[in-house]
Amino acid sequence: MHTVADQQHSFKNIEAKASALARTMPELFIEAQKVAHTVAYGVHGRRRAGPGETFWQFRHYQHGDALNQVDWRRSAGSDILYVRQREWEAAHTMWIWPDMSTGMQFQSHLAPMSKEERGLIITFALSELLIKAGERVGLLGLSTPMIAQNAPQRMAEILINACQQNRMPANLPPENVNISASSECILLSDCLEPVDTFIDRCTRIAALGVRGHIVQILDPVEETFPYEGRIEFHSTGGAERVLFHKAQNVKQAYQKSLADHKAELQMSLKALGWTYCIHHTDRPAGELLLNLYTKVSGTQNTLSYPGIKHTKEDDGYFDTVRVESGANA
Amino acid sequence: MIILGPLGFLQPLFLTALFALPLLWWLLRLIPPKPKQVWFPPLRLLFALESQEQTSHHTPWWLLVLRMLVVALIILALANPVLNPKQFTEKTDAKALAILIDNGWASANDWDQRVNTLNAFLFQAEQSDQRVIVLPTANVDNVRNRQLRAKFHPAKLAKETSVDLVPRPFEPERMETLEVLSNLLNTRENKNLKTSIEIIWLSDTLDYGSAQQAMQKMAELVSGNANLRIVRKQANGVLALSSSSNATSGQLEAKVIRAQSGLPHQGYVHAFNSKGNRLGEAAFRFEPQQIVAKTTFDLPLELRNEITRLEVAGENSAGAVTLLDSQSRRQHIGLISGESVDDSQPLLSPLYYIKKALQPFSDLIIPNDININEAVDNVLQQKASVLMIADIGHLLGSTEKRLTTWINDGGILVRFAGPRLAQKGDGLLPAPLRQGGRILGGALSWDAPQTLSAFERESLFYGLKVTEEILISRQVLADPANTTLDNQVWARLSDGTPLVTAQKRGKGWVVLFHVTANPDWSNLPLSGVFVEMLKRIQELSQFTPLANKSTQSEQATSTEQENASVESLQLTQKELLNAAQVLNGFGQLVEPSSQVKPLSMEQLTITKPGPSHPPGYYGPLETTRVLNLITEKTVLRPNTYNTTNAIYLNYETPNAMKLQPWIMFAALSLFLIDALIIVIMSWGIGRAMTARAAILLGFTILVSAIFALPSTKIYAQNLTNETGKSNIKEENKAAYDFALSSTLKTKLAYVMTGNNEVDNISKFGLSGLSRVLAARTAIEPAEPVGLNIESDELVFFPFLYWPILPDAAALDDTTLAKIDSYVKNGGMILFDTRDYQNSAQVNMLGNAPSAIALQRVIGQLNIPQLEPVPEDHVLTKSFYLMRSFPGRWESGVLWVESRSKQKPGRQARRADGVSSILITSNDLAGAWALDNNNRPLLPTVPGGEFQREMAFRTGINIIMYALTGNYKADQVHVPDLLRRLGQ
Repeated sequence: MHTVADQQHSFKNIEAKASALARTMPELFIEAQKVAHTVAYGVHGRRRAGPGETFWQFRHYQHGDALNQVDWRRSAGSDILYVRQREWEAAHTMWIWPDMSTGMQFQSHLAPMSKEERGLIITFALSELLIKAGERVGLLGLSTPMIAQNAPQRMAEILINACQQNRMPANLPPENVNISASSECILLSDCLEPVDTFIDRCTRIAALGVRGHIVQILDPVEETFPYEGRIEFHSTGGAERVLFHKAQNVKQAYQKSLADHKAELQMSLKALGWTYCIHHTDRPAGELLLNLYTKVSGTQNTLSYPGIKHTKEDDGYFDTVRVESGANA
Repeated sequence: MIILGPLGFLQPLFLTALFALPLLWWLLRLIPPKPKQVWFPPLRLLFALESQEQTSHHTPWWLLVLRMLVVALIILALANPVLNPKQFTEKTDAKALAILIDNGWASANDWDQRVNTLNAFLFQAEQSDQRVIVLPTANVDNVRNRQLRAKFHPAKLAKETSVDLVPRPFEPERMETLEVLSNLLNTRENKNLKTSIEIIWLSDTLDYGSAQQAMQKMAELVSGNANLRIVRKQANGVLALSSSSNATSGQLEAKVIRAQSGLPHQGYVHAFNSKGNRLGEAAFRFEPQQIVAKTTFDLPLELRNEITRLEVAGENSAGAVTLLDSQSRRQHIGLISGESVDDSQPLLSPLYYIKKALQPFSDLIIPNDININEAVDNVLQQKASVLMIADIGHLLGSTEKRLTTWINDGGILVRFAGPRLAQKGDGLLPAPLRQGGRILGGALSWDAPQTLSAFERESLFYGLKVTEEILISRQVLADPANTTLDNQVWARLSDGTPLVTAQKRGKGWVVLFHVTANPDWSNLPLSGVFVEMLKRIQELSQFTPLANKSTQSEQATSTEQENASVESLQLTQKELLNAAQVLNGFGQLVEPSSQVKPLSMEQLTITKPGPSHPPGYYGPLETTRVLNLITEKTVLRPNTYNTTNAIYLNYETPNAMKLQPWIMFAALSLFLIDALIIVIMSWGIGRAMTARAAILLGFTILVSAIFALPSTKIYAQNLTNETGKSNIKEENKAAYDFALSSTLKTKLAYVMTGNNEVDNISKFGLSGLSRVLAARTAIEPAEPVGLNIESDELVFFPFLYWPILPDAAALDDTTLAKIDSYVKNGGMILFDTRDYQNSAQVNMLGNAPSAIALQRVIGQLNIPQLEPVPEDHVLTKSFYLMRSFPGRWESGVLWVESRSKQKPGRQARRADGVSSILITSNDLAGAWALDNNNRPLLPTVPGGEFQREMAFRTGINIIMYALTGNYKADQVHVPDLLRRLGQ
C-alpha cells in the first residue's frame, strides 16, 4: 500500500512534525503542569502493607513473621502479639507510551486540541506527578526509567529526537521492549488499528508480567459522526478514500461499528487483566489525569470526582461517559 | 413553423433543446458535483458501510423521469405549439408568390396574428422555393419609389425584410399597390413569373370603397393553376372612435362605431390628458343591431377641458383614438356692453348674468375698450365664434360691415335689448324694431307682466322647460310690418309676442333677445332657462373663422383697413402648421417622421389622413390643431368578400388552439408534485432534509402569494402614506396646539410691545376685563393671550389690544400684509397710545410722540378716514349706553372709521360697516388692570372709581361691538332704547 513517494512524503511530514512538536512542547509543558497541579496528591503510598516508613496497620502475629517485626509496646497491652506493618512505599517503574502516529494529529472543530497533544499533555503531567511521588517513569520503547525532576523535559527531547530519526512511536505499541515484570505501563492511543494487531502487541507486553492501562483518546466527531450530505472521507495522508452521498445515512451504522470495536477491545484487554478507558478530547485533560492517577495509585475505589462517572462494570474498566451535549450540532 | 400531424410549432427552434435532454440525464448521472473532503481517522470503520450507503442514495428512476418530463414540457411550451393549424399547409406549384398585406389602421388591433400568418406563408414559400414579394398596402412612400424598389425575392430574404412591417395610421391604398404589382409583372425580367403567380391577400376587414375592385384585379393577376387566396376575418371586431362632442348636458360625448352589426359588444373609452394620465373612462355597449354606440364622460368641467385624447380601451389602433384640440374644448365668446365698465354694482351690470352663464363652458373675451368699434375688432381678432352685445343701440357703419362679413362666415351675433336699442336699432337685427318698447304691468299699463309660453317645435330652445316664475315686464317689439319669413321666433311670451328672434345670414346667425341681459326688464337672466338658452346658442356655432374661405368677404370689403385685416386673416389660414406629434398605427403619439409634411389651416379640415399627413397634432404648442383619422362622417363599411374565384382562409381557424398555457400549467403541476414527493420522502429520511423541503415549499407559496396578492402592496403603500401624514402632523404640532387652544375658547389678545411693564399692564387689563365680561355678560373669555405680531397667527382672535409705545418701530411688509388681511377678514384692533395726559392736544395727526409712533407703525396700512365716535354709533349702545369712553384718563377721544365718506379701493374696512380699527389714547388697559384679588392696580384720574366703572363699560361695549358687529344698530331696538332714555 505504501509507495516510495508516500515514504518520502512521510519523511517530510516527520521533519515538519518534529519541528512542530518542538515548537509546541513548552506550551504542552505549561498545560501539563497546570493539569498536574489540579490533581492533589500526598505521599504516594501503595495503599497496602509493604516495605516503607509509614505506619499501615497492626495485625496478628502469624507464623513466619520475623520477631523484629513484632510491636512489643502494642502487644504488651494484651495477650496477642501484634505485628506492625508499614505501607509499601517501594519505588515503582511506570512506562508511558503516547501514540504519535499521524492519525493522532486529528483535531475536529469540536475539540480544543488534537488527540496527540492531549496524549502528550497527559504523558508529561503524569510523569511529573509520579516522579514527585517517587516513582520512576520512562517512555515505553524509547528511554530508560527516569527519576529526576526534569524527566518531562527529557522525555520531550527524546520524543523530538525520535521524531527526527523517525523512531517515533508508531500507531501500535512497540514490539520488543525490555522492561521488568513489576512495572506498569500506560498506553495513550486512539486504538483505531484492528483489534487483533493491537491486542497482539499488548499481549506481548503483558507476557512480561507488566500490568497495563489503555486509554483510548478519541475526537468527539469520531464518536458522534456529525456529517451530512455528500462527503468523501479520506484516511490520514489521503491514501484511502470512501465517498458517501448521504453521510447522515451511515451515522448509526458507523456508531454501531465503533461500539463493536470498543467492546471487542475491552473484552480482549479484560482477558489480559488490563484496564481500559475512553477519553474524548473535548473533555478536560484533568479528568483523564485524575482517573489515571487514581488507577496507578490504587485508589480507584475510594475516589469519586465530580464530572466523572465511574461505571464500574468490573475491576479495571472505566469508561468516561461524556455528558451528551450538542451531539446533533 | 413546423407541422407535426395536428400540431404546429410556431417557434420550432426551441424543439432542438429536446436533444439536450438525454445529455442532461447523462450529466446528472455521471458527473456529480465534487463532494466535500473530510479527513477522518477511523476510516477503516467506514469501509464496511460503503456498499450499503451507495445503493440507497440514488434518486429513484421514476423521480428522474418526472423531472425530465418537466423540462421536456417547458421546452415544448416554449416552442409555442398550436393545435390544428392545417390551413397554411396547402402547397401550390406556382413559381412566385405575391403577398398583399393590409397594414392600415384597421389591422393594428390584431397585428400579431397577421404577422404570424404572414410568417407561416413565407415559411411555406421557403419550403417550396418560391420567389416572394410582400406588398404592404399602406405605405409612407409614394408609388414611384415603391415601383422602383418592388422586386421578387427569395422567400428567406422576404422574411427578413418583412420584419419591418408595421401598421400605418391611415387607410390602405389597395389599388395603387396592385398597380405596382401588375407593373412589376409586366417587366421583362419577371416574364416567366407572370405565368405562374399566386396571390395571397391578408386583408383587413374594411372595404374603404376599393375592396371589390381590388379583388377583381387580383383575380386577373393570378395565373396558371394558382389560386387567389384571401385571409379574412369577421368585420365586427373593428372598433373606431368616430367623434367627440359636447353633449347638451355639457359633458363630453364619444361615439364608437363598428363596421358590422352582430353580436352585442361592450367596452370602455378612456380619456387622457396631455401628460398621458387617464382622467376618466366611460362604458359603451353595442346592442346586436347597432353599429354606433355613444357614451358620455361624467367629469367636472375642469377635468373635461384637460382631456386631449380619447381611446377605445384595448383597441390599439389609430382609428380608435380621437385627439381633441383647444378648439373642440371651448369656444370663444365675445361680450360687449353698451354701458361703461362699472364694477361697483356688479349685479346690475348688463353682462354679469351672461358671464356667469357662459363661463363654465367657454372662453369669454371681454374687451376693455370703451370704443365699441375697437372692442369689436378686438373680439374678432381673437377669433370669437359668438359675439354677445348687450344694449348697444346703433353700431357704426364700418363696424356693422365687419360684423356682417363675420356673420356671413358663420359668426353668431346675439344682441340684448335695452333702453338704447329701444331708441334706435340698426341693420344687424333679425327684424326691424318699433320705436320705444312695451311696458307690461307698469303703473300706467293694463297688462300684468307676461310669462313665457312653451318653446315651439321649430325653436332652437325646443325641449327646454319653461317655468312660471319667469316674468317679462318690458321688452322691445319687432315691427310686424317688416317681419319676413326668414325670421324665426325662438321664444314667445304667453300672449304670442316674440321674445327671442333670430335670422340666418350666410352661415351665421343674428339673434335678438327682446329684453335686457340684466334683471331690469325681466327676471329671465336670473333663471336656469337663460343659461340653457345661451348654451344652445353657443352650440349652434360651428364657426371656425380660420377654416373658412373668405372669398365672399373679399368682395364685400371696401375700406383699406378691412382689406388688410382680411389679408392677414387669409395669411393665417395659409400659414403652414408643422406636425407636432402624430399617431402611429397602434394609436400611440410619436414624434413625426421626416416624411410628414406641414399642413395649412384650411387644408386641415379637408385633408384625409395619409402617408404625408398622418393623424396627430399640428401647429405650435399653444394652438395645436388636430387631424383625426376618423371624423364624424366616417362610416366603416365591412368588406363583403363577394368574389367567388378565391379561396378563403381565416387568420385563425376556430379550432386552432394555442397549447402553450396548458403545457406550462402541466409543467408547473408536475414540478409541484415533485416538490411534494421530496417533502414526503424527506420525512422518512431526516429532519434536516424536511426543513430544507419546507423552505422550498414555503418559497413556492410565497412566490404564488406575491403574484396573487397585489392588493396587499397597495395597502402597504397606504400605510406609509399615513405615517407620512403623521410625521407632518408631528412637525406642525406646536402650531396645531396653538390653534386648538386659541379656538376652543374665545380669547382676548394683546400685542406684546417688548416693554415688560406695558405688556404686564395689557395682560392684567385684559384679564380684568375678561373677568368683568364673564360676570356681567354672556361672554366668558379665557385668559388673555400675548401675541408677537410678527410671528404669531392672528386669525383666531376676534379682538386685539395694541398699546403703542412712543418708540415703537415700523413694521415690515409681511407683517403689514398679515394685519391687513386680519382686519379685512373681520378682526378688530384697538390701538391705545396711552398718553392722553402727556399730549396736551391730541389729534390723530398731531405731534404727540405716540401719535407719530402710531403713524409709523400703521401708516402704510391704508387706514380709512377716522372720526371720533359719533353720537349714534353702535359703540355707544352695544351693551351700555355710553357718551364718552374713558380709560385711565378721561378726555381722550375714541376714534372709529368714518361711515360717511367711503372711498372705493383697498381699505382696512369691514364690509358691514363695523369699524375694524379703534384708536384711543385713554390707556384702557391701565384702567382695566386688576390684580388677583380684583383690586385695581393703577389709579384712574380724575374720576376715581366711577371712571373705572365707565372704563369697564367702555371695554364691554367694545368687546360686544367686536363680537356682535352692527347688530345693535338695528332699528328693532330703537323703541326700547327710546323708552329707557325717556325714563
